[in-house]
Amino acid sequence: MDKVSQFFSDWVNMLMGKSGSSLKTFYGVKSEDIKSADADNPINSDIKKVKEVLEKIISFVEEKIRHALLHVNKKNGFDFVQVVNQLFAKVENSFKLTLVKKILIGLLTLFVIIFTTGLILNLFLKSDVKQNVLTSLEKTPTSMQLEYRPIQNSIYADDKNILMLEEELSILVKQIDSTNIREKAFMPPDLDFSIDF
Amino acid sequence: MIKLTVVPIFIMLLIGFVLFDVVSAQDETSPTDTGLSETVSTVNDALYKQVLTEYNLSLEKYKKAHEEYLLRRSQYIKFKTLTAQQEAYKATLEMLIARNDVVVNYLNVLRERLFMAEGVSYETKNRLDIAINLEKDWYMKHTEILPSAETLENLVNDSNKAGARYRQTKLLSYEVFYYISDGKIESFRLSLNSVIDKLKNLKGIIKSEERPEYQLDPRKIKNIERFLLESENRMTRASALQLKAREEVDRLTKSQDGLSVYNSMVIHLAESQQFFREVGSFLKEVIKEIKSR
Repeated sequence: MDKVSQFFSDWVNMLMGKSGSSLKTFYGVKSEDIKSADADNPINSDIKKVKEVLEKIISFVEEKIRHALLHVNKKNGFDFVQVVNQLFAKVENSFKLTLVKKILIGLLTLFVIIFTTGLILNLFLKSDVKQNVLTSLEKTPTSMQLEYRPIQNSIYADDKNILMLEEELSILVKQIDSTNIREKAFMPPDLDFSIDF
Repeated sequence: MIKLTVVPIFIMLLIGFVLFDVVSAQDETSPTDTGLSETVSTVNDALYKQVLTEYNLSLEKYKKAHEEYLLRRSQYIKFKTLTAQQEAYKATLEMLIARNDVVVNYLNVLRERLFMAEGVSYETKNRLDIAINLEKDWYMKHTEILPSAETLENLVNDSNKAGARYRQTKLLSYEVFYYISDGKIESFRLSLNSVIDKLKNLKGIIKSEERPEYQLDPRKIKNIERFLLESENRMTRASALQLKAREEVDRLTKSQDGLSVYNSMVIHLAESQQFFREVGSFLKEVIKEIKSR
């Protein structure tokens, strides 16, 4: 377990620009070679610069908090500083490792849940009981099923005058839909009236 | 003997039929008739196509004359010689004459388009026709006096006069377009009102019907009444919008930019058209209700 945790810690360090000792031996690479490669790699140098800046900011904030707590200590007689220092130390050392551990455990758990659910669903679908339930549901009539009722014509459906009126209306509606009100085609021509010498 | 009488009678009948066709083609519609008969429409179509062709030809001629004018003008400005000046004068004169021809032919097209339009009253057509003819006369007289301009400066002054007149011509054309658009709306309004009246009469007959097989369900009668009421409401709104557009005619004739006023009038008319579409669908529902049990 220690080796595994060391391995993951080194991997994270590698990502952040530090070279891990376990990974070195895993890949059979010497530390001098890694250091020279790191020095040449521009991405690593950029990551290092960002890390330096972040460390400076964190140390500045830490300093401020310590000063503030010292001041409070003087007033109240309780050693906040020691508690915070211990807290910072714990967080700094174990934060990265626990974070990686937690992410990996979370992913593994999710995978196990998905796999188990799939197995259970598969077994459930294959069972005859489920099949019977499904077929019985299909056969049961529901209130949502509507009966087809054809429209019945009244005595006026075949009346000549009404049919003529319907035809007239239909033609009129088509005309209204298809007519363009705006007279686009014959706008006044664009002529040059700005004559000068 | 029989052949001698039959043959001339047959020939006379044949001549009679031919003359009858020619006479019917020359019939004019009455002043109050807002629709067009087929024969008049055919004659007007042919005339319209003719003036349209003439307008397009004059436009092409103007474009060529304008290119020549631009070339001669640039040469004169560059070299300032007497020859260049004379060439520039000649090209400008030809261009101005071609420009006037375009306007005159455009006014002919406008006139024919107006007379083909449905829903425009005879008085309006007459009034606008007089205005169009006045404009045409002005440009034709302007073309006659152009050659008397002996210098380029005189030509420029004459051109500026035509420019000022053209602004007025454009306003007249937008007025004509408005009346053509209004005519379309008016013809739709009259036709829809006619259908509504017929359906209202029919509803009255059905409602008062005593024979059981000819009676409709009271719910159907209620639906029919509701649709007819909604149709009438929309017709009222459409008429109000049409009136709103009509009130802007004065503003159009006095405006600097006729196009923007015309556009606003068309928007009102288009809204009327939308109401007519809704009325059409309501009236279709009325007929459906009458035809079904």
